[in-house]
Amino acid sequence: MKIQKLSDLEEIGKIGEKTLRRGKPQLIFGLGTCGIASGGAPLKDFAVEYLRKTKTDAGISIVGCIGLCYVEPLVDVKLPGKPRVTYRDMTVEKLKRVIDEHLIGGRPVKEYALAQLAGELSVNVNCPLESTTPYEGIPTYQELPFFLKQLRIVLRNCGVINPDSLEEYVARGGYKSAFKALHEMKPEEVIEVVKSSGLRGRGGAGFPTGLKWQFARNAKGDKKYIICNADEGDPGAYMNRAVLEGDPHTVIEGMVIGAYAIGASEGYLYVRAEYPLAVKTLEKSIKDAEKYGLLGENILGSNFSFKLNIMEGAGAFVCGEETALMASIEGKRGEPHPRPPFPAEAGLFGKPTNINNVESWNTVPIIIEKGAAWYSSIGTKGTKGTKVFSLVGKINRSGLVEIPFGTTVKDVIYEIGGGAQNNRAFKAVQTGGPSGGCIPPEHLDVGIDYENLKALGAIVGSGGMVVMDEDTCMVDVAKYFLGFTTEESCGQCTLCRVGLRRLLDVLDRISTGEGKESDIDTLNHLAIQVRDGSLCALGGTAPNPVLTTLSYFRNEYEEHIKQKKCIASVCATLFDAPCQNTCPAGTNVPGYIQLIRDGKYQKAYELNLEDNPFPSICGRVCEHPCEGRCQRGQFDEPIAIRELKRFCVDKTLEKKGKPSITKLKPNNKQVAIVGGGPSGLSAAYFLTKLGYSTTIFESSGKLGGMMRWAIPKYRLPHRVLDNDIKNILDIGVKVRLGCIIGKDVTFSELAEKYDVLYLAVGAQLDQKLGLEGENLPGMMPGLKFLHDVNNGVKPHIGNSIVIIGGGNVAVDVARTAKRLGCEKVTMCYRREKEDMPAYTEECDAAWEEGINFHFLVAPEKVIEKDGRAVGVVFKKMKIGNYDKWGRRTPLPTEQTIEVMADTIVTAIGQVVDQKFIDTIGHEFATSRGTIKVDKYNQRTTNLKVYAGGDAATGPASVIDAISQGKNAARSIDKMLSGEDGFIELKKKSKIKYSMKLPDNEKKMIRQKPSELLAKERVCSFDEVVQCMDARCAKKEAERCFRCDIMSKEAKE
Amino acid sequence: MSIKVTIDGKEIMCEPNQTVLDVAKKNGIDIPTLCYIPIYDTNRSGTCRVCLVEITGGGRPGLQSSCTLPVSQGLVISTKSEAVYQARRTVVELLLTEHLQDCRNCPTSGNCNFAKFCRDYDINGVPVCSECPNQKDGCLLSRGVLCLGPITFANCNAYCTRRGYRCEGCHSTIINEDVLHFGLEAYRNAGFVAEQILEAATVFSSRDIHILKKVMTNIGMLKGKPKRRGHK
Repeated sequence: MKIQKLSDLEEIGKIGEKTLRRGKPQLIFGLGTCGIASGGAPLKDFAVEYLRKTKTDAGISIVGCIGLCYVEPLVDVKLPGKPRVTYRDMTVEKLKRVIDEHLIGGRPVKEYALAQLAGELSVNVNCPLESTTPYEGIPTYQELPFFLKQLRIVLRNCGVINPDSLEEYVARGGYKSAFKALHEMKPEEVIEVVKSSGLRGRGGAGFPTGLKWQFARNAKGDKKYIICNADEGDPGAYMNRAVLEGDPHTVIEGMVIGAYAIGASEGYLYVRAEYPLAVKTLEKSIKDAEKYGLLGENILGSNFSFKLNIMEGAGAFVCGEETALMASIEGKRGEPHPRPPFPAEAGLFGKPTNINNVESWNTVPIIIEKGAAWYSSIGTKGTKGTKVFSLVGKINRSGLVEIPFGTTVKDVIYEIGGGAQNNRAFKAVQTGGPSGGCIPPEHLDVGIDYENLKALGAIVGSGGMVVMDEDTCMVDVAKYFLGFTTEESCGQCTLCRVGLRRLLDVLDRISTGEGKESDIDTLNHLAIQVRDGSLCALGGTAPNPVLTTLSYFRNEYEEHIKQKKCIASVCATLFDAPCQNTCPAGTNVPGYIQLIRDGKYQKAYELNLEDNPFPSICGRVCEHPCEGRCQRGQFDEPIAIRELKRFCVDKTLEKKGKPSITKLKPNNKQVAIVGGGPSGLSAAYFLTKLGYSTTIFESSGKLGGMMRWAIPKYRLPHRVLDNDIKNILDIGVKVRLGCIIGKDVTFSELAEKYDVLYLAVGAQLDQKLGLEGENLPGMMPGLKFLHDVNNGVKPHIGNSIVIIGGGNVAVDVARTAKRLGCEKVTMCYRREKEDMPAYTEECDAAWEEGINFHFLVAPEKVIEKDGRAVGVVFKKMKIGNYDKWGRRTPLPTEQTIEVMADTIVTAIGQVVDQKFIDTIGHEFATSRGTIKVDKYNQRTTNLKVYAGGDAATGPASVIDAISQGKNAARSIDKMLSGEDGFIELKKKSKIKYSMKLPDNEKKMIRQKPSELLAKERVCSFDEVVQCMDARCAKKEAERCFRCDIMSKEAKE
Repeated sequence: MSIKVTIDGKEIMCEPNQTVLDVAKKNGIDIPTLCYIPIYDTNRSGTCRVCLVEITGGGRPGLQSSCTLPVSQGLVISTKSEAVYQARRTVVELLLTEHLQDCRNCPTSGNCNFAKFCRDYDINGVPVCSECPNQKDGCLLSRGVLCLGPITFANCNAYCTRRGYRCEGCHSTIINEDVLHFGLEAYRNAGFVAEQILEAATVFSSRDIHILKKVMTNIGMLKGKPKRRGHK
């Protein structure tokens, strides 16, 4: 029957309402393309079978995608009068239980449930979802962080109605707006409403829709067309698909209204062929609409006629560009042509044409229904309304989200998306697909709208948001997107056809270690030319990923070019194994693990010594960035690399083995090293290996630096430290202990007598709190405390101690205090537990040992009594919003808390002793009080003076200090000899190990070393973590995938 | 003559239904072209991007191809701005990266558009042979003269060789290895040896001699291990 009157429409609506509000129990399946891809179809088939078998009187509904991609496949259960419950990650077994217990038994299965719909989720007011009393123990959709900030206008019916049912669409208010427009409004009035709503084209360019319609209306012509661009070519974009498959009639209705307003008699829906389900759904929808008189002659009983055709694309990204799309409809090759003339004047077949995106058409009916004022009240000043974004990539909660413009990128990533997966550090979010750009953390506060993103060099585009973490290489990202657009270029204009290819050539060279210094400028200049001069928006936007990554991640490009290093371990030519590549010292991890596996412990130790003089120390206290990047971690658990390193050293020493260390022929050059800590010792070690004569000047009475004075003995026994130091001294390093620069020898004397100096004095002073009373007796700086204990002095700390800080030094102080017999040990940190910079394993050990923690407290005042500090007043903090770096900012409250103690220790950071800076001269210093160095060659402002370690970087880890000593040695060698002596050293190394790929792809648990029990260990300073036994070590070594072998084969 | 446009500051009255290129030509303003076909059908041109002009007023600002840009009331165009210069220069540079520069054997030499562009836009890309009209028997190489044209950057309109003198390479030697290939082959066929060429080229290009040597080694003119250019 043809709908001609409003009452006809209402009748159809009633049919839809009946199926939407069925009086019997319902199973609801989301079967859009990704619902099917994640395994939803067999679940539905099972349900059909099972309901029949159990003779259950329940209905099965199919709906479109609701956007919760990260928990698909979903199955929903709705009992009459009760909320609709969504179950996540469903399998056949789980479904059976859900049907038995919830559908039939009436009790929801809470452990499988994600959320419940206890009322309407979108802005729709027609036939809204029933408001019901929520079940206990299951969050409502509105409470889920994923939905908290969403405003569902475009997705108003997705996941609610059956996409194949026109009746259900009408029940939800469908075609009422078309009726209103055709019968109650003049075409110009419709255009006015769209204009004042502020709707801007959702295809990517953001041109005001109403204005575009006006141009088409004003154009002279006997025949006009409208087109819906459903080509959606961006990789990773599927927002349009969700609408086409889940709520197609919104687009059809929008096009009817638009055609009427413009005066078009025919339209095309251009859908990419890669969306077969969408095409099928649309074909049915158009047929139904024609049947009901919503398309074709005399629509809805008016004088207006409009024919809608479907046209499938043929796999060309460029056909998303409007002029190329029209060429494609005309049967020609999809090539864009220069504009002007614009389609509104001369478009399809030369006639005035208006083309809009799926989301734009979808929004028109609801604007007509609710009014322009309503729509323009949402969003920002420049960009009104909402947009659907696809949040994908390394994000915890991925899916489709519809948010009002103005929502910050930060909120999308952290509040809605839950932050980066696996606790990896968030690095950038790419918006707008291959035409867009990357946004780094510092700009996350930006509210999303067309202008703001454009100012950052990115675009809103189709709405894709790809989240990247620290394991993403930004050079590779630019290469990936450029590879795509280069392929998709239609080939007409020189700048895009040739220019993109030349850009890709440069990126290829950079990512394979053949980059030149001039490449960055070449890329920049050429990218800008291609962007500004190309014929169409493909060439006009393809350089954006290059330009934004160059602008925000220039350091990565420089590392690839200058150091041939890919820090994210992605560009395969530049490294062998990610663990080795991530280790700042470049330790040959797969090599020594293989040697351990083959029982050659001393050789494993020697292989370590080629890159790091302190394997037994790092084997105990290193923060093991290698394990974070271990590929095995993607399969089951990362290899216990640190424990294996310690194992091979301990076992060698057990057998009284003496490792042999390769050296080059001695030369006559002399190097002085100031500072006998890890960085200085490391530099001395490598320089001596390279043949130089080195002398360490150490101000204290013993070598070791922070390794001796700061790290407690229960983590690092001094005999272990002394053994490593002995190896270094044995190869011929000279030492002058108790020697202070400026007092026992002057800086200029050193500079004169030696060919080169290396400054590695560390950051040995505690940072001050900046509070009055902090120098009173009873207050103690953390490093001094640890230094005294390690020196055999027992500080008087009384029975209670409070430690201000949350880093490794703070935890070391706490656990040491416990061992000194202090009963009440409390740590006070200004943020939350997960924000503590100290190693997680240290925090856990501290908690086991009975240490108390106060979180969210910041020191405000020192409490003084009789000239002594007896406590601290802390301000209680509350957790605020996320900052750009994904950490929640602590904000002060009005409340305070007093903590009394016999001793108060501050451990809030370390600084370089400015007295040393005074001695060498302030021209060497940065504004932060560290020594200024070139980060590539460790050279200071003086060509003869190098520096490294904490003195140059500020407080960092021991492996950083060691690697900088090694790096400085290499730079010094290159400068003094003109060659890279490390290459010679490597040739002299005779250590060989098997290069046979292991067969170990079955899940194995990670071996753990044993530890002393908490109760026992707090009584002494005995080493807590024990060495693995040989059996466990072999099992653990067998788990290694040997990524270096596969990488070698790939390079050949 | 109802439409007023401004090109390079000059106000011009013109008929509607024309392109900016048409109007510029009629008014003595020179805009270079390559792919332009003088038929008014905007779907047939606009792809080489050499004729780009900059719209600075009266339309969407930016670079547009003048052969497709219709004149409109109040349009303000610049054909000489920095953006236009850079864009045109880039177009020619890019085209050259895909162009077979066998100029000694090309009939266009002496009258070549590329060579003219390189002169106008200060690009070092093509050898002197592209500007030299003495092809085939007229070429100094075939008369046993060591003319450095094949391996020297053009920019002089082949001043010396047009007048019968050998090119001495004063504009410095070419560093594009693909182009050097052709030149060095030409020397080999004409009977010259590596040492002679190197000695002559050292006068003005001692800094880049190593590139000459590299290509000579690759094609076997010089003894040594051939280095593969680029990665596998």
